[in-house]
Amino acid sequence: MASLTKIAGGTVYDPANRIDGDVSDVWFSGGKIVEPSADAKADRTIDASGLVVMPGGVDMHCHIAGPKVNVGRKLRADDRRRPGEALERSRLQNGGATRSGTFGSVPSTFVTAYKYAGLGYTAAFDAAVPPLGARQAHQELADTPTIDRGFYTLVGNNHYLMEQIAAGEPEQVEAYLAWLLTATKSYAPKLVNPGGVETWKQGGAGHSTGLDDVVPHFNVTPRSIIQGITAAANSLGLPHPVHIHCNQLGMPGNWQTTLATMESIDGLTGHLSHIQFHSYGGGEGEESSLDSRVTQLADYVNAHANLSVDVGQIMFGQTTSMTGDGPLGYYLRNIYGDRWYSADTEVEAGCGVMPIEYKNKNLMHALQWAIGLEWYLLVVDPWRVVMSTDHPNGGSFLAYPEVVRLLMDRTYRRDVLASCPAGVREKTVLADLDREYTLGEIAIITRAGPARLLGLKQKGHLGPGADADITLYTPSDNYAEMFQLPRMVFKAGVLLVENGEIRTATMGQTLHVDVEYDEDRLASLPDWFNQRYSIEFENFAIDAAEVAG
Amino acid sequence: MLTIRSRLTDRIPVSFAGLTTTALASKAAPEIQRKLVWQGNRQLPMAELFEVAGDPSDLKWRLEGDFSAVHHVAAELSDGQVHVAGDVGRYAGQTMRGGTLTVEGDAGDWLGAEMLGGRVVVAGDTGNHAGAALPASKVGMRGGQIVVRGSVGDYAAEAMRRGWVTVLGDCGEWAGYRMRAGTLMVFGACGSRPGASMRRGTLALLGAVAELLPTFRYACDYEPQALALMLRALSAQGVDTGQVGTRVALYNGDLLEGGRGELLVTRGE
Repeated sequence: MASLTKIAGGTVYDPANRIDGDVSDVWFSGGKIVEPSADAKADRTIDASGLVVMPGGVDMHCHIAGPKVNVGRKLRADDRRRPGEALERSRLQNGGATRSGTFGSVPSTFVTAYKYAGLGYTAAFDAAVPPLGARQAHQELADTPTIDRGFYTLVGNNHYLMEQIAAGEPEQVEAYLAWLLTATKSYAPKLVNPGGVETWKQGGAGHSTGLDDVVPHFNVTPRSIIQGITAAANSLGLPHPVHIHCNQLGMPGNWQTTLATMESIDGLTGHLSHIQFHSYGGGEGEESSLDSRVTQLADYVNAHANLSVDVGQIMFGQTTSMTGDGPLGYYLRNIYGDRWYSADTEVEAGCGVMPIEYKNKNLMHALQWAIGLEWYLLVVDPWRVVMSTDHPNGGSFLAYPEVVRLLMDRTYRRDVLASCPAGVREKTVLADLDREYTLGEIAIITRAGPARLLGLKQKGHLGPGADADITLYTPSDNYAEMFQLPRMVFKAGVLLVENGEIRTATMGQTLHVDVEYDEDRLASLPDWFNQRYSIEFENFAIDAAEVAG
Repeated sequence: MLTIRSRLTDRIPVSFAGLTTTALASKAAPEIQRKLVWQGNRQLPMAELFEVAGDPSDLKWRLEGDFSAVHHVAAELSDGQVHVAGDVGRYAGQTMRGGTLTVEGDAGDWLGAEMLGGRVVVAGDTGNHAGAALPASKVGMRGGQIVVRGSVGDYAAEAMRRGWVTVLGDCGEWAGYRMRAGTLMVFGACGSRPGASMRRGTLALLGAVAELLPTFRYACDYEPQALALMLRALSAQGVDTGQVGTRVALYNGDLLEGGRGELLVTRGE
């Protein structure tokens, strides 16, 4: 019989079970949280008195695997020249060893895993893998141990889907979507600049790709792609129906496109990612006119329970931009002039990777920073706003503790705001926002909320049957310090990290969906596929044996 | 003076990263002998690989024996003198800010890469990327001086931003590739594609020259005063410049990058 462990006397924050700072015990056995019997005796008791107890963190939007991440690693050789930017292999007390790796804005796979665990996170999802890159992504995720992980597959510029949407074949869209998610062993469909990437691939710069611009040769619009795929994903009953990176990311005036995207979903469940980058007022192509339109967009989100967002907070410093939004990469390259990687992934997607530095003295960057914080503070229901830096696009996930401090400490937030250009206070309402997050709300936006939005019933809470993914923090008035170095982190009941030291490095599985669909509907797909792809249809699907865990 | 004598018996690379004259100035020889250095994938005390003797407090080092597999010698040097009585490996003088590195033999690739200040003199030849940008960097050498009395490989002064590189022997291909500013002088023969993608800066080819790229446009023949002054400065440093003429043809390029770079080709007078 599995041993019974009690985490005794901690101050528990478990919002999914309406526990908000109660001093109580958490019991687990066999990797799951359990409800102990009245006379239960623990085989092991961990004294958590004075400590804060939360479920393990869940990052629902980051970039940690797949072709673009690997390109980022190659492109950022300058990130890891010095000896301190490398992690050496080390022996673990409990047996086994950690693997060597590198830090920088795009850490190596093993370092990514260890650092997530070190922050108290036990699950993370890469948000953009082209279907053709799924095999590589799975191989990299297999080398990202310790945490549970998964990825979303890119579908917003997929030729087959656009053809079926144009032909008015919603059942065909549904069947293909189900097949694609199952074949790639991915977790959710992801729309990136729907239709816009294909338009850019065909015609280059100078195309607006607003929601009603027609995608050349396909006779579809971004609006019809969003509506067609969102409807299919909802109909399939996917745990996380659709994850949308809106059109015109980063462009002044893009807030109207974002609002139109929210409206186009028309009551269906949808998640808008890195919303900070999509909330800009101002004239088209005029960076200097950029201002915040979070108030209008957050009002809409507050009034529509079908919508959720993750923020994509930018943090000041060096990082790497990586995106399936090829035209965005080109746009950034023209602004910053640094080295740039662009790729055309056959009939599926695009890609852009380049270094970027966010500076607090730069008005545009400081505005982006403030706009991100406005989102956290203006969405009333914390269950529908999720902490993310869009790692590494806005900044590293290692900045999450700093984001927590900015949200929980109004004085600190205002001190940082005061160091930014004065224009930030004129173009945003951040200075007027008094809201401070509570620990319970932090627990929602970092674990309970994203787990619920992902349909992960076993994660993000400490109720019986949940995975025993538990993080213990030492309280501090400096919330960044508190969240930077958890006292203990458990994954499925196994101690992963203690006081910053890795104890176990072999846990973790890759999460994905297997969706049933009508195979007869896709009878002609192999021929279509073989005429267009560089690989044979029969070699495309990921076998179960290729998925770690 | 601190003397470090090589006891290496194989070619497994050793890294001197972090070992600078200033970092070790206050340490006694036995303490330096205990310092760990990487050899391949393992760390070993200096004493297992080198004999260390003398006093480092005057910031003067002498390296004796075979250092051709020892990398990062004088990397990040900020003050003092490092003299190598033989060959030295890759990344010698990388990102150094001040002081002097002198090498009696040959140097490996990336000599003085991304150097910021100080002076490097190599009596023999060097590998590729002398004074160049390291992989993924926007700019290479940003200050200081490199003098190579032998020949250099390809990509000398790649993406150079400031500073002065002089090659008394021959130079490989892609000399001054992506140069932003600064000066590269080649006394011997220069390989193909000199100055490709250069934006600004001066590339003085004072020996035999391969065919120039078509994106360089002839401007005029003249005798730049700066060239005469620089040759005089080299002469004062002990370099024989007697046979080098100062009459050159000026070409502007690379026209694909704005054409503000200067390529000076000797007229042999």
